[in-house]
Amino acid sequence: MSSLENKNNLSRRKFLGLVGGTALGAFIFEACGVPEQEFIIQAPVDMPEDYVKGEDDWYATLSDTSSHGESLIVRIMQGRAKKIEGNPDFPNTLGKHKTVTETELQSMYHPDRISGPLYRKTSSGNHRPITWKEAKSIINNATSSQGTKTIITKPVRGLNRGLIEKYASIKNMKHLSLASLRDNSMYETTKDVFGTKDLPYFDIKNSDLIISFGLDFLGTWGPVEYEYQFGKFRIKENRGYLYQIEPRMSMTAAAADKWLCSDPGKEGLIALLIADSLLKNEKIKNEDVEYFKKIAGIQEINELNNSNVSLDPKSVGKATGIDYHAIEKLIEKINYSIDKNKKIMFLSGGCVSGYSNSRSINALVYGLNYITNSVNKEGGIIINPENELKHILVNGEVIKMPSDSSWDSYEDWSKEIETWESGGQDLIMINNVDLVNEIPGKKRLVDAIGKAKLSIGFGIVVNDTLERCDLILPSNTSLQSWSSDIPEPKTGYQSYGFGQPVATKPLLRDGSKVLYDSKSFNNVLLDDLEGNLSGLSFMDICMELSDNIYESDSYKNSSIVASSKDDFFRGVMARGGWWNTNQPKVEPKNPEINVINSVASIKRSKNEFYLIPFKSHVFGDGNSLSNPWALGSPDPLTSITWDTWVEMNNKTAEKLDIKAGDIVEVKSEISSIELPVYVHPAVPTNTVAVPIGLGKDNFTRYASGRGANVVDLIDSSKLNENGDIMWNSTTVQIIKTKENKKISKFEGNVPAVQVEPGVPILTLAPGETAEEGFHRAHEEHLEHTFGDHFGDEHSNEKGDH
Amino acid sequence: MVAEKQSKFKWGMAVDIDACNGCQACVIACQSENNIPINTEDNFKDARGIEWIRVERYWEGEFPNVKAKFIPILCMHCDNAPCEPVCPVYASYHTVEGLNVQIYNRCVGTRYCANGCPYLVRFFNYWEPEWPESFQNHLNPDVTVRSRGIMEKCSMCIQRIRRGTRDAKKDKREVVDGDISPACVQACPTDALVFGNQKDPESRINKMKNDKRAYTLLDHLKTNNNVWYLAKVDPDIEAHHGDKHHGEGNHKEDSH
Amino acid sequence: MQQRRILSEKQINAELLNGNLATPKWYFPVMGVLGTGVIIGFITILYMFNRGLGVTGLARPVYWGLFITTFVFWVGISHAGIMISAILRLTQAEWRRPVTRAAELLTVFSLLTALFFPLMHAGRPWRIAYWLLPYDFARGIWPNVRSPLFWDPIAIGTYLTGSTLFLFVALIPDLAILRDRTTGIKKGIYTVLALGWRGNPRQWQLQVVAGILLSALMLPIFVSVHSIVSWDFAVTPAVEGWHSTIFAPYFVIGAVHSGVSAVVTMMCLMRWLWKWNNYIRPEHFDALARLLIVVATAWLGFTFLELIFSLYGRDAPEIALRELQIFTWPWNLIFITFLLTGYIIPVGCWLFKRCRNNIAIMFWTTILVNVGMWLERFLIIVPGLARKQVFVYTWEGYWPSPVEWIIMTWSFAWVSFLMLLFARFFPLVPLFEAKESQVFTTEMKVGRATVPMVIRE
Ligand SMILES: Nc1nc2c(c(=O)[nH]1)N[C@H]1C(S)=C(S)[C@@H](COP(=O)(O)OP(=O)(O)OC[C@H]3O[C@@H](n4cnc5c(=O)[nH]c(N)nc54)[C@H](O)[C@@H]3O)O[C@H]1N2
Ligand SMILES: Nc1nc2c(c(=O)[nH]1)N[C@H]1C(S)=C(S)[C@@H](COP(=O)(O)OP(=O)(O)OC[C@H]3O[C@@H](n4cnc5c(=O)[nH]c(N)nc54)[C@H](O)[C@@H]3O)O[C@H]1N2
Ligand code: SF4
Ligand code: SF4
Ligand code: SF4
Ligand code: SF4
Ligand SMILES: [Mo]
Repeated sequence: MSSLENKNNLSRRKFLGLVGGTALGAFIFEACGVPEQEFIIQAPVDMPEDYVKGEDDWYATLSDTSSHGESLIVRIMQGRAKKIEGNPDFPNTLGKHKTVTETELQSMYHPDRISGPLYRKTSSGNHRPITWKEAKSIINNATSSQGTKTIITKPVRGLNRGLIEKYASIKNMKHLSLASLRDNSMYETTKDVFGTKDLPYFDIKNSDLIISFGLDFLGTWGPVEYEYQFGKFRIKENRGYLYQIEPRMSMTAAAADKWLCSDPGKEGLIALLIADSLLKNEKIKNEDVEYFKKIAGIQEINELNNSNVSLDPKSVGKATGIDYHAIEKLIEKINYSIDKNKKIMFLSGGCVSGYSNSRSINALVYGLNYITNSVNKEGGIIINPENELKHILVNGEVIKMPSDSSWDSYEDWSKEIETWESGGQDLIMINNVDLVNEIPGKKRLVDAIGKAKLSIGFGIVVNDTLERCDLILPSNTSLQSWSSDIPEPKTGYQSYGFGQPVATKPLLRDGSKVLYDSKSFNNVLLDDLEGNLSGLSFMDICMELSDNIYESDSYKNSSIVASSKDDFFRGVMARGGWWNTNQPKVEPKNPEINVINSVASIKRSKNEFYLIPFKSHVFGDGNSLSNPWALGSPDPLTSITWDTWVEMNNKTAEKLDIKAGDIVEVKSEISSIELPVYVHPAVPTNTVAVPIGLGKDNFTRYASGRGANVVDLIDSSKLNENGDIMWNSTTVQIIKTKENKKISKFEGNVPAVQVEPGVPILTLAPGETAEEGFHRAHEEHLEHTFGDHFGDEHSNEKGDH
Repeated sequence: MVAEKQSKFKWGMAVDIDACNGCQACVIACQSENNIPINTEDNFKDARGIEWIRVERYWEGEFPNVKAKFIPILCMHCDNAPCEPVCPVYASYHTVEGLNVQIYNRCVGTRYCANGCPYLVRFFNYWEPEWPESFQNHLNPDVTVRSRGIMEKCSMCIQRIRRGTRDAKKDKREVVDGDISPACVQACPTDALVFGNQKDPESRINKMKNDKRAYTLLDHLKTNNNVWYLAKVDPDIEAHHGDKHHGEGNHKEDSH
Repeated sequence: MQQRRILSEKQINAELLNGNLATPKWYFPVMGVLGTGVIIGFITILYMFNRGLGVTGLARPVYWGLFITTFVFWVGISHAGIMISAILRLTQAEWRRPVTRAAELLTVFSLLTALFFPLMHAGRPWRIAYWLLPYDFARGIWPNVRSPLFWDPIAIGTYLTGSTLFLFVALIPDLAILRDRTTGIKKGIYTVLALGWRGNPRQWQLQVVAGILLSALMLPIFVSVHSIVSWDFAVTPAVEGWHSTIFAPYFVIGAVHSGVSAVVTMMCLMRWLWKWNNYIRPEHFDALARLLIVVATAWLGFTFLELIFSLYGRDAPEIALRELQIFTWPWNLIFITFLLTGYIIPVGCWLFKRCRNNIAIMFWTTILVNVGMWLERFLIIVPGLARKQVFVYTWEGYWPSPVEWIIMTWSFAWVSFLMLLFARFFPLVPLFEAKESQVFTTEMKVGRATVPMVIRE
């Protein structure tokens, strides 16, 4: 960039900075760019007296914790971030945030943040500090030379992904993305079922009956907006009813009105049974049934049954391990809702995506929505329109803006790792992914990374993967970086999220020394480019997008009205993004799917258990666990903190003579780990469940060496219909060891069962008042405990039973 | 008493446990807002974790008819607070706006108030809280960082209430419902928590506390709570009142 | 019954001053052991002040534990003095004479020790002045007079002042004797303390009147001290097992039970250590044991009343608490031990005259009583907290840490140490009372029993 442009840039910034402090809010510029243009807000230690305002400002930016593109507002005082809240304006945040989002503050101020670039020449040598200048030249040498080069990131969307893809294509690199316990199947299948490019939107709030097959939309999947909607779903006048069908009690199952616990892999039978009963229902008269038939690959109803289980509640109950009365009741409820014209929605994903036939189950379940006429209807599944802007032009270069976070299947990963192992890899560049802990086979991965000629890792703190890299680079947190994202799923209309640096680098209190010298990943990539994009910072690209939106057709009637590009950009930054609620509906296209494989057979011998690895609501994929707030927050169902555990049914535990805290060996065909037992009444007797996220050797002073990593137990050689690992298809043996440990949990040492129904949690029948409810509960209690017949007029009735 | 009557505000909270999904967002939000010390592994093992708001999970029934039920519990800001008269130094104190607040400076740490509180929402600092220097950057400057040997508890985010009322005064307007929200309320994704001024007849909290599902915890102790709970609803249970016809499918399933 | 002998004044002086004018052989070794315990205790206390209460085993919801238990225990023991010197004096029970001082002394030292506990147990003991003294006039901050924790120091302070005065008034004539039998610095100190006692009739008269007046003044304290301590618990509606209207009399009678038992224990020791067989005689034990049977039975009645009252309401949390207290391991063990040691074994023994007159049996049974009484306080204080209200989710246990055990043990070493230290410099049995009793007491045969008779003072 020429010095002239440079100046222009500065003046534009100054201008923006000056007006920034007005009612809309403002933004602060990041201490990273090319060339370094720094605008550091001074910390109070060396701040002139007249500068101390004692007032706070709130800035909008994007969340790094959520994988759905959620927007946050951050409270800033004296350049330091003090509090994170959900952006109240933003469509998929609505002023809320996911449980651990606030821990991003601690990522920002983590005492173990990498202080500066570290480098080692040989894979066995020690890392030593180098300057960014040296680091840049190492990167440049490696990326500019010929060879096999890969860049690895989390699944990203929008400009963030556009830039990475651009960079990869210029540098002739391959881009791979990775996320833990991936729900690929659900993402891919919904797109095929509804014939769209983007994930559809679930109108939970307006639904009357939701039947969810494993989709943990109140837990570890989905934007926080779905939790918000669930609240409304529950407290609206006609209270909604939620069924959750899955082999482990997730957060959604816990909150559901009814949880049906199916054996893993058998859920499809219930979907078939529902389909069968729906298709026989005379009230169902709609052309969309054809869509379902296409998905199911059938012409007539009787073709539905392709397994040797007949489609009646009893047989399905037997096959799935669910009490058939409950299945009857489910069918009854669905038919009743149809009779009363209530809105039904069928969802699928989560656990269900971890079997060999995940694609089939997901497809069948989402297909049911066609039968009940719930597609593109209020209270049903809404097809998201595509974004108008598919790419932008920056200095003549096309930067794409994909709106979906596709991730690479394990099939691709497996090929990639083989290349590394063969020694043919020249460069691996990893941004903020703990590869070795997230893919089964840690040792193999560690060796494979070691074989690459050069490995570069970006991160905030050192983790097991970064530790193996030759060049370790400190990256900015989301609170310090420019970014641009497209929320996924969109909320029925197009929207873009913008992230900006909101806080400066923390300084040591007793001096002006910077605690760490980090840069934003995107800017390092830009910095490494020659040609048209050289000299730009990611902020410039974000501004370019803003300008593009301003000039686009859909700008009119959207969330921001502005008189100029700058004004518009300021508005976008103040509100955390841009969206246009006035977008016309789009209709689903022909489903591009045609499979039925309703039953996955997971072989389990008598003394074995199904293993369900899961993301705890608080631990998530483990990437926030460097922060003590996340580690020290109780998992909602077990209240466990700071550790991993194996959930085991109380009866099973009794049978195996296992008590809470006993350490057991969980042994799969591949490997085995040792974990303490949490005795859990809501785990099926034939199943054990283990959360992912810990078991890392090196992950800050807080998370290093804690717990065990259940990913190690998964057989990655068997892949499902989507070419992905079958997370929930492992069986394990449980072997008791002699050890026992005190589990760190919030819950006391007494099984938490209410001493009397109604205290402290009162449960009412529909329409009942609190007083009546208490009365009923107390009577039940007295009768149950003392055999009393207190309740005068009711005692007779009770006697009749 | 007179001052209480004259005050424009009487704060309160309503918790709809039918909406709460037990997500714990309120817990972290409160920790972040109120400079609650890092709860270490040992703190939890020793039952000394500090959570001004906690989410209790109760089990009901046996597999497969097992239910997990969540209830967020914070200080009830009792009008008739048992934690107040027992404190020898007036550190547990009632404001004219109906809040029970804790004056850290005065507290000598007898923990008598904690015994007095039926709701177990008062927490004692057994150790000097450790704040790594860098984490001190994110401390909320509006909230005292407590030292060891004292009690701490939910203040209904009094710093936010003060800010909200002050801003309204500065702008020469009344405080409107929704202007002020404590950190937990703000964070609660399901909107299960609602905060407001009971003296404002239009406030949501007033509607909620008069809802037919509303009840207060440990009503028999007559602590006169300012936190109301809206009961959970289970469509599958039957009320004693009204129609007595027996439900269809579900009963069969539950009765064996 | 042992033969009574009439003792000469000279013999009384010699025997009762045998610990003051010469040092018994066992004295230094015993003091050495106790002193070590005291030092270890103080070091532990300092360690706790330095590190914070984290070193205890206290946790949510059990915010009070061993320290408060031991506090109540020592306040209970302190009832020794009030029972013996005030009640028995006013009812003119003649056999009280040789033990009045030791009992009063035990009161003073156990109260002093009891006061340590709430101080130590506070999170910021250095700020305790806030709690006790209304000193912050400028900001108008006063202690909260509604708090039982404010009544505690007043009640105990009054009791402590009264007991100290009582002890001192009764000590004056003996101090004069010591003054006359010592030389050097010692003599100087005794001279000052004896307040110019010459033993003339006016002085005797004043001394007796002061004693009787103090006894009468202390009577309300007899009722108030442990009542007030019980209100620390009883005013707390949140804790099942604490919020009970019968706590005040229940605690008082329990305190008498443990206080009188402690006096008996001490009498045994005095007999053994200083060989005061002539002054502390089996009939004293007999009389005390009979008294104890009555007290213990009344106390047991309260114990069961308290249980029955609480179960009568059929409150779920109340039942859960009793289930824990009585039936759940390891609390059931504590409960059984408490019943056995607090009542069944001792009272069972005392029913037999042979046991009542056997010093060793009396020693061990009264020790058992105080083991039981300590457990009683523990069983009242801790389970109620561990099962607080309906919040089953936060129900926890409590296991005291070594620091708490050490400090509790320290309190026993500390009281014994102080008692022995006192015994080294002052007579434990009041000389003048011993002499008086020679004059006033005689025996009389009533049927087959020989009972001590009192000639009115
Ligand atoms: N870097 C930095 N600058 C600051 C501040 C900061 O914290 N850091 N704080 C700001 C604040 S809050 C303040 S109040 C100002 C204070 O700034 P100043 O008012 O400049 O205060 P001092 O530096 O204390 O010096 C005052 C001078 O008065 C002289 N002096 C002392 N006694 C007397 C006297 O009786 N009569 C006369 N005539 N002279 C006397 C002293 O020798 C000294 O030279 O500084 C402000 N500037
Ligand atoms: N020894 C000595 N003592 C002095 C003086 C002196 O010259 N020498 N000068 C005197 C004078 S003139 C003055 S003005 C005083 C100043 O004394 P203080 O008012 O104590 O001033 P500081 O130490 O500068 O800042 C107080 C604290 O406020 C924090 N702080 C900074 N910004 C904010 C904010 O926005 N909100 C909140 N809540 N906290 C914030 C800072 O981190 C710091 O910890 O000192 C007086 N005392
Ligand atoms: S712990 Fe503090 S607030 Fe509680 S009673 Fe004691 S002094 Fe008062
Ligand atoms: S809930 Fe507890 S701490 Fe809060 S006011 Fe009531 S008694 Fe006091
Ligand atoms: S009101 Fe404020 S202090 Fe109280 S629990 Fe909620 S966040 Fe914490
Ligand atoms: S944040 Fe809301 S939904 Fe989540 S646990 Fe707290 S009260 Fe419940
Ligand atoms: Mo100043």
